[in-house]
Amino acid sequence: MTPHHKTLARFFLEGDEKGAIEYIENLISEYPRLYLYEDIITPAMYYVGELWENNKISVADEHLATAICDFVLSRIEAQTKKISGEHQTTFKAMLFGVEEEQHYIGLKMVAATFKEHGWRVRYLGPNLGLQHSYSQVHSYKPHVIGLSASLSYRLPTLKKLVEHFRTLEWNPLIMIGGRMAKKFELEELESDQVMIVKDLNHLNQWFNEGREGAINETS
Amino acid sequence: MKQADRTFPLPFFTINKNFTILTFSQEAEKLCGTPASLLEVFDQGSLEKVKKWVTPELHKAALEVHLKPVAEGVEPLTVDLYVTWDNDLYAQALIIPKDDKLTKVTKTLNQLRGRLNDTNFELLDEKEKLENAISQNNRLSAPFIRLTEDTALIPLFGDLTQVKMQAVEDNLLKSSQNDDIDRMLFDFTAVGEMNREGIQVLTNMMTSLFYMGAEIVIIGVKPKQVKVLHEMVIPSQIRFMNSLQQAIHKYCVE
Repeated sequence: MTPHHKTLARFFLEGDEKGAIEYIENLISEYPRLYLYEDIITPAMYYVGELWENNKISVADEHLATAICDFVLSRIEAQTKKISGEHQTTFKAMLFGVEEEQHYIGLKMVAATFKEHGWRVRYLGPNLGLQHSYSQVHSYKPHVIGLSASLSYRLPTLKKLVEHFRTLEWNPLIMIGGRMAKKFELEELESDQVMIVKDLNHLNQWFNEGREGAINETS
Repeated sequence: MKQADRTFPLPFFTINKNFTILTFSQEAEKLCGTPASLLEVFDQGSLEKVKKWVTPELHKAALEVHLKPVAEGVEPLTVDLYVTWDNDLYAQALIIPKDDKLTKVTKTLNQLRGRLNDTNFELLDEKEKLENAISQNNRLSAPFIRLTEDTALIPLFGDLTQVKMQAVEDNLLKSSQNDDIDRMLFDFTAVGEMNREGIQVLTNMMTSLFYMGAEIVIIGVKPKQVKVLHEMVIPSQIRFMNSLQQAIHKYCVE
């Protein structure tokens, strides 16, 4: 049997949004959402990347797969039962991809995960200009600022953002995610206020247990 | 040894198997400058692919890769790379930039996505504003008005929903505690629709208030509302009165 992620990747690459949705909907009834994000959709997109690296598909195919994946994620999110009113927490998160970063699928799943936990979320998408991100953060005053980057070129921008956000008077927790968090050693950036989030499982662990048993949410 | 002596009409390099650039064409210099190694030309995300496909074991290769952006704010350029090995040591590499159309489509897609996201964001903004307004409206739907030393009037406004009752509960319980209140008059005159869940929260709150020592009086119930109230279990300690006028006359004047 073909693994789920490869089957899904096929739907993405063929531009078959209907097939992809149907396939995902079957899986939703079987698996928890987190598993779907982390162990099926993410590997599916990594697999698409591998295919490109193996010279099997072109950039155009990759773009198509990304667009279909984006669409599927929006659909899943719309179907998720919204936590609102009394049960919604007062916590706020703001998420964006740093300037010039074009990858955003992972971040979108992070946004959905925060929402499922009852957080108020502002997902600002990829490639958010430096000044724009400052002004958004200052007006929204989020408890968590999630930054995403995948290539090491973004490191200087990332550092600049972290430096700025660390000085905010309400002490938000800064999360750094994206492929960069997985591939590169970013420990030097890590501190009480800055957390490197390797993947969605890691994020989920933080929701459940806090940070290595230390601080959770905004202590 | 490098030389820019080739007048080939496309970006062209000769490299050795360590990717060191031996010669390059003028077009290559225009596109990528004068790097020492071919690997310096490509975007980080493409390096693995180049290393995998550009090797003497594969005599010929054609692959799609990204060039490193030449300036800030520019997106990586997608090109086709053709490589042929003369022997195990030297290869010819030709770079052909992709048709502009792909870049254009990519850009348009990105813009469209950005715009959808902005719209989404604006909607979210409005939604949050609206939610805040509703919640404030809810909180203001049951003001605590002190009539005398020991009697307070709580006129209820609008539909009695669960969310609204929950929103006012806290404030009412607190106010009844802070002030030395013995009697609370709940005025139903301005109440619209009532649903079971809302009444449930309200009667629970009244029971709590009663246990805290307050006398509860409900005023101004309309015939239509009686039906709903009747179906619910109303604590027997709650008294009913016809109109506010009566209640004020009885509790505040006498």
